[in-house]
Amino acid sequence: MAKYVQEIGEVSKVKLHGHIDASIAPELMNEMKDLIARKDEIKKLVFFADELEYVASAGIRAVVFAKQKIGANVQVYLVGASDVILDVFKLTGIDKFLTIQDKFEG
Amino acid sequence: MMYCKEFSTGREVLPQILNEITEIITMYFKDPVIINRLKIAVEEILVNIFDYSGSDKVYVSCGYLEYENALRMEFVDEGELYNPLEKDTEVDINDEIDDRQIGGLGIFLYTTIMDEMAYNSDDGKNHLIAVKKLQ
Repeated sequence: MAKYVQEIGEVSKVKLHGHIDASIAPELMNEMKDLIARKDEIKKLVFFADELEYVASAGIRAVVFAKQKIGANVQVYLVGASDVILDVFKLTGIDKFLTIQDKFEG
Repeated sequence: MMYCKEFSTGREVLPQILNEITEIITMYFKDPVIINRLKIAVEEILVNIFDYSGSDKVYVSCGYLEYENALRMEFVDEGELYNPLEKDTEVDINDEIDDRQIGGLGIFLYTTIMDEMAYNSDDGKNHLIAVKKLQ
C-alpha cells in the first residue's frame, strides 16, 4: 500500500505528511516513479501538504522529478502547505512551477 | 550550552541528530521558518558527508558564540578530504523546471541558509563550520 500516493487518475492525489527527510524520501521518490509510469492518465497532480511538517531537498527532488516527468500539460498543485513548508519551496524556486492553494479548488 | 556528539554515518541516524540539534537551535531562535531552515541546513550537510565522505563517523558540535551573537555548528569527519564550498552548486532558482539539476540542491540550500560557512582540513580531517547570526 502506498504511503503517499492516494489516487492515480485524471486528478491524481499525493498526500505529503510528517517528516520527509533524506532517510524517508526514497519511499516518496519510488511512489513518484510508479505514478509517472501512468502519466498518460493524469491531467492534474495534487500534492496535499496540510500534514507535512518538514521537507528537505530529498523530498523537494521527488516533487521536481514528478513535475519534470509528468509533462507540460499537467497542472501540478501544492495545497495546504504551512508558511514553514512554503518557505522551503520558495527557497528552491520550485514554487513558481506549482499552483499554490490553501484548499484544492481544481 | 555546548553540544558535542559522535554519530555513525548513515541516513538512518538523521532523525536522532535532527531532533537533538533542533533542541539546541530552539534555545536561540524562535521564528519557526528560521528554525526549519537551520534544521534543513544540518540535514543537507550531514547527507553530503554520509553519501560522499566515506567516513564511518561524524562529530557534530553546536554552541552559542557570545562575541558574535551567533550559533556555530561544526561537522567533522575522517573521510576523503573534500571542500564542498569549492563546488559549483549548479543550482539557479531562475532556471526553468525542465532545466533543473537534481544534484547540488543540498549545498545550495545550506550555503544560502547559513550566514557564514568555512572549511578546513588542518588536522587531516574535514571540518565544515556553519554559523547563523541571531537577529
